[in-house]
Amino acid sequence: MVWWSILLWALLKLVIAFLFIFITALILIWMLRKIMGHMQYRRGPRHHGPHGIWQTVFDTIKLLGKEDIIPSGVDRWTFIWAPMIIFVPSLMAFVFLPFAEKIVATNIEISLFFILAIMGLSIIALLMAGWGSNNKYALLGGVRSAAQMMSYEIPMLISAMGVVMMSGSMNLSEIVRAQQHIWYIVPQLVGFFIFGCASLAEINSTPFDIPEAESEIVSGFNVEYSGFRFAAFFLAEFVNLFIVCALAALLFLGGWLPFTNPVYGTIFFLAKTYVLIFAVMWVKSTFPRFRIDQFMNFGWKVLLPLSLANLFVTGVIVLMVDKFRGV
Amino acid sequence: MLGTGLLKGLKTTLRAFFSRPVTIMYPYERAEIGNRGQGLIKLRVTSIDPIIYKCTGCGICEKNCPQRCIEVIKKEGEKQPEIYTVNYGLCMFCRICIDVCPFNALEMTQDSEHIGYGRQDFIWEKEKLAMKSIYIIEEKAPSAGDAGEAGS
Repeated sequence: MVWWSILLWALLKLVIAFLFIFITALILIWMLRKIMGHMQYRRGPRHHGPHGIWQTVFDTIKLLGKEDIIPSGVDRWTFIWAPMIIFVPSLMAFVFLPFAEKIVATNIEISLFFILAIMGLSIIALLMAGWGSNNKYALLGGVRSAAQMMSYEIPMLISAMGVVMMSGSMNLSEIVRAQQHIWYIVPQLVGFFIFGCASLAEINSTPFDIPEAESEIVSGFNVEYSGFRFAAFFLAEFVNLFIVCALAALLFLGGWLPFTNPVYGTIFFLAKTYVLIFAVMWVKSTFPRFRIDQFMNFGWKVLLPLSLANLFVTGVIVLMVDKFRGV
Repeated sequence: MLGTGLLKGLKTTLRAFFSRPVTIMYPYERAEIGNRGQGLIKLRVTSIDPIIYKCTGCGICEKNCPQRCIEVIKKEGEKQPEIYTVNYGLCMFCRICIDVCPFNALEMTQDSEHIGYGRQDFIWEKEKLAMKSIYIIEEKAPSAGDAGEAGS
């Protein structure tokens, strides 16, 4: 291939990824408002289009059309770059997410590792936003989110390790292929639970929405943002929701299985992801927020030991099965 | 058992999700207002053409109104009101004017909707108080530009 066709191909992939991200985020925001509304005996958006489906589109247009306000006294450089940086991990994670057999932008051997590592990067953007805003609530939110992500990244990684040990690969496509006979949610139920809790914390969703606690620190790190910068934070939040749910579907629910056909596979994979997203929104509209000390206790004293025990038991069983088979 | 409370909460929200919303889509459908609802005031009349009010213009309602939103001036030599205006911008629908009226000339309606384009739309004259139980916007109130054109 000549260099320009490689470049063109990469650009095309980028455009597709961007479109997919935007459309997904819009759908998810609409879905959240609708589900939350119905769970509170309300109706949610209703007026624009069937069941208010265009509402979020118009909201986004409104946000993009708003005046770009940079408050005086902010650290301009960090303030301006934070919303752009927060989008990078979300966009990069899509590069390695396989949607079906062979439908993946870049197939590398350590895609799971890479996605989990990249997801950790968004702390920097949140800290930058918190620090750059020159606002006590924003700073509190940023610091809280850093503390939260650090303490919940570890159980999340260790619970994903159980799956890696069983499948013997860090390539997400290989992990899905290894679930041909049994989805890993059955042998790794504890791991699924830990992964679920930790990823709820990872995406700042209720009951772990301590960084943006609206009732305490008025939505935390993004208080000073408005217009398209706020929209970037908002979209990134929902894209991250999609990514962790897709990851959980790949690791524990067998991704696109039982279909290997690309079309059916993609549909099935998206269906599983959306079921998980519904579950997240269900949890979101049900539970109140943890207090910060309870939350830290839960992370370090419950999830971490539980995930280590899960890792240990998984390791022993995998070894015994290998011995039994005479490998 | 651990987590039963969480499951109970999840069950509650799921049940809410599948049951009918309680929202009433207000401009399209209206909630029923109980009989005790206190709404706009109506002046009672004995005949419509010519219009004869039961009100004698004694002004007791004016004196008793806590918000001072009623203005009554008696007609010379007649037991009729010359001017009877209610300023709904001030009225708090306390119903005292109706209770104190010795001639039973006032009535309370259930209409709670009264909207207008400006403060002047909330000052109702006696004809309007007598005839309209439901407030309908007839025409858009003239803005400053329109008024200027009409004047010239």
